[in-house]
Amino acid sequence: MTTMDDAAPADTGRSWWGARLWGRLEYPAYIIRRNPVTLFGFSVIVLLVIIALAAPLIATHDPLAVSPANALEPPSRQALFGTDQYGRDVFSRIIYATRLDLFIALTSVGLAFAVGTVLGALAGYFAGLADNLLMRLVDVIMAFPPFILAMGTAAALGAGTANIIYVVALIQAPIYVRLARGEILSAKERPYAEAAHTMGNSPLQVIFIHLLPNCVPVLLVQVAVNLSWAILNAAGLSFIGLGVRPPTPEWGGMINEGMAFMLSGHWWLFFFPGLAIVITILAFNLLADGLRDVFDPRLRW
Amino acid sequence: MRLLIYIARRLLLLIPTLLGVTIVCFSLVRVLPGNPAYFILGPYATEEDIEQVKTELGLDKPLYQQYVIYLNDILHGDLGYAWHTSQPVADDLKQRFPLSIELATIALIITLIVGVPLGVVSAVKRGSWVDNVARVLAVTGVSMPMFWTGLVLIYFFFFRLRWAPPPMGVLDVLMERPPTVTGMILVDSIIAGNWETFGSAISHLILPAITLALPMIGSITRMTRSSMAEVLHSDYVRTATAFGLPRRTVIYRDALQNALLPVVTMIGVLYGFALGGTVLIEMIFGLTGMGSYSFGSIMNMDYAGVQGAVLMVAVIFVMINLLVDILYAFIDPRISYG
Amino acid sequence: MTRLLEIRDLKTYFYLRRAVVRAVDGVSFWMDPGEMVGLVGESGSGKSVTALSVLRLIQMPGRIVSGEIFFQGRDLLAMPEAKMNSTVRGQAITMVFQNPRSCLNPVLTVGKQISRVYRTHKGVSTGQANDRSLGLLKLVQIPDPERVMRRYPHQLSGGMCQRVMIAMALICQPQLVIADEPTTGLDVTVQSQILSLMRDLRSQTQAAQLLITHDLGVVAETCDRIVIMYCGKVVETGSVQDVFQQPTHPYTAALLHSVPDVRKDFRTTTIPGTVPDARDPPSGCRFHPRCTACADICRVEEPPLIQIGPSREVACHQRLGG
Repeated sequence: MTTMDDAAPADTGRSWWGARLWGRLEYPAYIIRRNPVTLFGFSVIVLLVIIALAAPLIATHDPLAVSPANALEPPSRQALFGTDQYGRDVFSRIIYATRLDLFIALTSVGLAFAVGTVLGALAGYFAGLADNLLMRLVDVIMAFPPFILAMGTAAALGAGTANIIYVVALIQAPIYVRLARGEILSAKERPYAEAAHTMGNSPLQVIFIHLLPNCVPVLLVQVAVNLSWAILNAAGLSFIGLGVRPPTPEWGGMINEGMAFMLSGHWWLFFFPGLAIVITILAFNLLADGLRDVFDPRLRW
Repeated sequence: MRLLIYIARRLLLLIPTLLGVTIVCFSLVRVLPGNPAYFILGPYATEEDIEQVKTELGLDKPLYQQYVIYLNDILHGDLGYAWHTSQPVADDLKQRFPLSIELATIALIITLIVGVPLGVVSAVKRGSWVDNVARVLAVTGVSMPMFWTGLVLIYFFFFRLRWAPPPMGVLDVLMERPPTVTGMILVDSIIAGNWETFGSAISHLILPAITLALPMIGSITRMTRSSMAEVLHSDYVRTATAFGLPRRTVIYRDALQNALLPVVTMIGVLYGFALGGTVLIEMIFGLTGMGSYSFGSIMNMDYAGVQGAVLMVAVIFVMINLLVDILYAFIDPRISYG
Repeated sequence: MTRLLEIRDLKTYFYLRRAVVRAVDGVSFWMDPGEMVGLVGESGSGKSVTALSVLRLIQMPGRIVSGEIFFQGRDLLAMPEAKMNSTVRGQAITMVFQNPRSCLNPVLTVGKQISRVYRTHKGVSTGQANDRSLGLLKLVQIPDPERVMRRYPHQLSGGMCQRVMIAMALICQPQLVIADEPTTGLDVTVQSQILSLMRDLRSQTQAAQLLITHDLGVVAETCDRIVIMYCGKVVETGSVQDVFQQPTHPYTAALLHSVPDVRKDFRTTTIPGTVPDARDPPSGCRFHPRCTACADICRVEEPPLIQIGPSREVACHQRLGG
């Protein structure tokens, strides 16, 4: 009943291309209109992406420029979020770190999504021994508490940005394998899958052109949730010294560095990078809630 | 009887999972780049030294043989030697693990005590101010990185307000530990009847436990709320209402009992989260548990320590999940044990 | 003699984000003690919402907007919630729902669910309530009732679950049982068993029954009187015999024509058009867009429900056979 609340907007004489573009954007626009909190989350994410892209324009200082004379200055007009023990500008470092943290989150989730979904879809469609083995592997990965596994593999691989991406992808991929497999398992029993098959499509075509696109909504909600986890885990790994190496600015690493100066009252060193993490994760979570609301009304809360 | 068969079956299914876990832990050190011999000897070792240590460690044997040896070792309780603490890893873990388990358990208890009622009230009084506050708290809770929340709490409650003890250790500085029975400080204090250490330990553990609990409270509140909301709209709740059962009975018997079933399954997930979180928490609060041990091992490139700790956590996590599944089968009559 | 149930101008609306669904929009009808009345209409005509309104089971975003529901002379809509629970629900008026399996609590045994209704309302011991439950399970012809008492709903068939629901509905000896499409979701053979069981029970228990259905055949077989609803309103009521032999509302006539007649040639006619949207019902008579006898007045003026005989009412400007 509620899905019929919004009728399609009347055609207001846009050009053909305009109409086509509007057709593409209509659904996301509808999602956002439905729920102002989702709109807020979405806007914050857009803002963060802009900050990441335009970091050099927004940052007031060079994030790596050391200035011992100005070390540990409290927040002021010159240094919005104060300076750290080397006199580096905390605000500028946080701005540049946005770049890195979003990049890590997007690439790791992208990697997990791509690998997990493809493997899960193939396993779900073909079943058999390979499917069995894959599911056992997934069970094994999921037998570890995620952060512990991340820590263990990161320790073995060594610190570094690329390794963080692999590690965070590793702990998230099983979720996509399971999701995609489950979706394909139920989708392949439906008549349209049969129809696609009898029309002479190869199994791969059936999976990736006909079945998988229908599972995208469910996966999309998971992507939004996982982006927030990715940021938490990446920052957590950097915090324990297994991620991005100093002096490269990264939120988790900055908190770690700032920790040592907390008990001498220099709170701004650890506080602001954490705030950046909270805002980012909150935005992804709100977006995920909104998407879930639309795609799966059963879970509405 | 059927429940027993079910448990036996689940225990059997555990074997391949545990084997997989050992393979992963084994691989962490051998397959991935990085040579343990090199790490043991340090950067100034000669080629011959490295070869000799490799032979000592059995690293010159084929991988499958190494794995069999490794498996044999851990079955005999030998997890290797941690050179950064100069004692067997197994002994380290024995000393360090109880604290982490204790911390994770306290956090889980706080989570359940706060989160479940909050979710229930939130669902029952949908749209009320309680609901709105609970929802905001929940989504903020799951969005806060605990290594940051912990620092904020220390800053306010120790550095500013001086309400909390300094974030160092689990007891006040000059206090003596009660005799070790379980290794868990609170339990040992109770056994020894030593209320002074009990109180001190509580005051040291409360902030880390709250830090660990906050995100978990967030997720359990959300889970309980959505599950409860769904159940409140179910046909059987309508039936109970239609037959004139008091609203209290309908909500707290019919609805709650059903709504809590999915929440129970989440306990395992949360426990895993808590165990992972202790790594970060212990580091911040100066606690010497499994987390700070893993951290120390990582910092000193002591791979045997990392490997042992990861294996131990995984085994505990698997066991907890098994217990949760059994508990679930016990309380949900719809689970067929077949 | 006071009526058992009298509904006057009941309006129950659902307030959605952008629309108001007038599911029940001015329904009036009555029932006498011990009577069996069929409430008939297409899906979406407001039958179930009417039934739920009687027990005040409408959940947000729905609300009973206005009207009166008298039960043995007391206005149920003015009764405090606590009194509803202690005197009406589960005792004087009970309800049997559709899809019985999902209507029973999955984590409680059948015996517990039946006996707790009795215990709550009669304040008896668990033992007494169990004995009584066992008796009721026998009454609704459940084989091996002792065993069924200890079963969970998922271990029973749909038909069994509906028998359990009926036992629950009868345990406190109600004056009125409302059965909301009690056979929906059951196998065809089981459907007729449940219906004949309900007929038998009526003669044994003296309880009046309001049978909600879209199956005219069922009404013809089991009911004394019929109330026909269309788009949130009552269009025609009367004894089953009168209405079936001489329908006066074009909708009733069309409805009767759409049922295959075994005695003739199975030929049926369908009603042209579709059920109107309850968010924006047609002006005047709600049936007019689909009506074959539609006149100008039907488009603008809503026909009132008028009495045309003893216990015979119709709402139509152009009544047939007039």
